[in-house]
Amino acid sequence: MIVAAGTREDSFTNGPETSPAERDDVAAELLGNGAPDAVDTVVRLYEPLVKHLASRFAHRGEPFEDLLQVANLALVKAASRFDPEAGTRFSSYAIPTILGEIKRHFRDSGWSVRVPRRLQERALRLRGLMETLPQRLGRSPTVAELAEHAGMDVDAVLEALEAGGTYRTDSIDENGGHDDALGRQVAIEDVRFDVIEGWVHVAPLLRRLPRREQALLYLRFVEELPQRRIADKLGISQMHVSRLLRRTLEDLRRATRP
Amino acid sequence: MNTVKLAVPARTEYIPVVRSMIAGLGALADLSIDKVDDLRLATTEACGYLLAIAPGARILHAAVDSAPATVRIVARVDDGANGVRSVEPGPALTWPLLRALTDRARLEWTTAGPAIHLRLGSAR
Repeated sequence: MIVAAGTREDSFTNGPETSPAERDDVAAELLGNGAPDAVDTVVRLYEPLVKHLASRFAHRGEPFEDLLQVANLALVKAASRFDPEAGTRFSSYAIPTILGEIKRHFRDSGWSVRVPRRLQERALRLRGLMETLPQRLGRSPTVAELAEHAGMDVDAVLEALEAGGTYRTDSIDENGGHDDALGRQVAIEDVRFDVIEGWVHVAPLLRRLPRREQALLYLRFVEELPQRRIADKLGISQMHVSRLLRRTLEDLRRATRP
Repeated sequence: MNTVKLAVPARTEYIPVVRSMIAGLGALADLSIDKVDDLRLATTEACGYLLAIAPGARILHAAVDSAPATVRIVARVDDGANGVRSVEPGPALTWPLLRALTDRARLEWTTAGPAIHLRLGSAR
């Protein structure tokens, strides 16, 4: 039996009776024999590994179920392509494959809804203009002004802005946690929705939100700051503010749906 | 003042259709992109509220009056076979949001069903 030093990824639990090396031996044997259900068996055997790897990317804006699905598919791919004769442990082969697929998923899903490239490019062009144009005009531009400066027609701008709302501008490393810098910047611990008229009934719901989202709701709907001012205050783009507001309200609607 | 009316099935999947129309009219009224975004959020909220309080409704109506720098919206649902007697089951979040997003937001009870009136201009 080949016994290799355990890696961090090996440290997941898989029952007391199976060591990572033993599991790799079983996988190599199954896949080497080419049994019809070998891949299925290997997928079941490595389920804890898949969960462990997917969990490393949790809370980065993608639903955990999606990450698990991506990781599972990557495991199937690795099991189908693994060559036991090459002398590599199965886990040494599978782990980079799974991690690679999860990272690729994050790259590809920068657009949380599949948006045509044409719209992505327009939205990105507009994003730049939405940073500079308010400064030049001293106010938020109209859609017509934005269209004129972007060399697009109004329809195209509206379409791109709608698509822009689905774009994830936060990098997966930047906003990994919930209680991030945005929440701290506005001292949200001082905010008490439960003493603000009109918000009392929803205060318990809002308290369950991450601090950043509480901060955004407070600034937008209690202080009634326009998106551009919030963007300036928090040092993020207006499109980012818009996207976060939409997403947070969607989450709240889902949470309050009977 | 130009009026545009739209009637769609009273189901949540049709809210984006109403929202797109209203955003387009907001752009025609020369509202800023901030205000157009507010219009979108307010439309989603108002229509979602009406569908929540009138689950038996069949048709969601939206009438939009747009003038330079101002948009007035009336969203209405028929009360359906179930009837609507109270706003209590509606999501509590709706009114604080609508008040913050618009210049005026009010609920009206008509014999045809509940309606939400919204007004949003660029003056705020």
